[in-house]
Amino acid sequence: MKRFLLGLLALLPIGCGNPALDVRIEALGDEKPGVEPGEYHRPGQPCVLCHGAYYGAEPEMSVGGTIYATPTQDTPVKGVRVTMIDAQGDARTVTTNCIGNFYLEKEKWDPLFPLHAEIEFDVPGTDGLEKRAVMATRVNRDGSCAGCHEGAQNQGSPGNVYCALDSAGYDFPEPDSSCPGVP
Amino acid sequence: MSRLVALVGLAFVGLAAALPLACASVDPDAKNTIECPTDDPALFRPVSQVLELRCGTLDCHGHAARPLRLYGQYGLRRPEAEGSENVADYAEYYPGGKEPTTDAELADNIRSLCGLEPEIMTLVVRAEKKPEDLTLVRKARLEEKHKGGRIWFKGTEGDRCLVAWLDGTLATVGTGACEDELTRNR
Repeated sequence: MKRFLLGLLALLPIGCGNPALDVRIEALGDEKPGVEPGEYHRPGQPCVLCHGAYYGAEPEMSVGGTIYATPTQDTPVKGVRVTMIDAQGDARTVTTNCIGNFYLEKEKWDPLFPLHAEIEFDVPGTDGLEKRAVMATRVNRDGSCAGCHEGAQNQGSPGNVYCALDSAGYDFPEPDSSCPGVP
Repeated sequence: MSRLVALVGLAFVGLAAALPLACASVDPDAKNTIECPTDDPALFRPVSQVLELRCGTLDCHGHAARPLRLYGQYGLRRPEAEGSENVADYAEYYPGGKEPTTDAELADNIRSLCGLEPEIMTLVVRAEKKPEDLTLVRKARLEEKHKGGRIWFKGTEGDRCLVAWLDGTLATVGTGACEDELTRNR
């Protein structure tokens, strides 16, 4: 009987896993060769899935994502100001890096959902012209942009988080090899 | 003791014998009808728009696995094959695309809303229960545990829009509260 109880206790950690999350994390695959884990890795993937309470990757994030040029064009955009305002009116602005990634650490900002989200970006090829785009809906619970903005546009995804609806009139530069996110 | 066992055994035998009778008394053609608030698109579309934006985002009730599952222009789209007569512009049929919420999506939203607590919904429509007896109303007000938090307070625009649809007064009071909710805090 004692051995049986000890066996059950040993199985407890296995029983506490979340297979639904495990499958999603597994599906993200390995790191891109030549890109070290860090703020430039895994653009377009759901950050909080790993950098959240369940998986425990450091740093723990409250919000994170990648900004692209258009919904269908995988050109990341550097220098986009991402502003989020939580349900209590507490706002934070963070700027995207050269691979388009941004994030906020939970330790520094633990917002009360839902969040209002908007971006401001410099229009390429102009002398300081800025544009602002506001997300049509609120972020209700998932701090990972890519939790919903997953892959190409389809009946379950709006496509990338984007600056412009299409590339006409916008010439967003591709990140060069000096960006640590580029292998 | 043996007499007690015999009595209990007899009771079980009696119950077992009564079972076929109990089952036989069910009319196989009987149907339960769920009564739902109005599905008139002129009235329900603004209500659905409010729910689509406030509740039906892809990270909440815009998800096929949720008991309350909402389709809409800015959330999950109803699965449709290319060429479906339900969709006018298939290229714009994605979350955030220009294709407005379709009539088929509206119809599915009503089914989902009414199917959540069908018996209580029927009684609310008959005015035998109050709208706040529905978990749908209480969760949005955070009067009941809700992972999505408080969507609105009792008596604010979104709440009045939903309650007016549920208690059948929407045709009288109009959809102004729904429209106010849609223009507020975008």
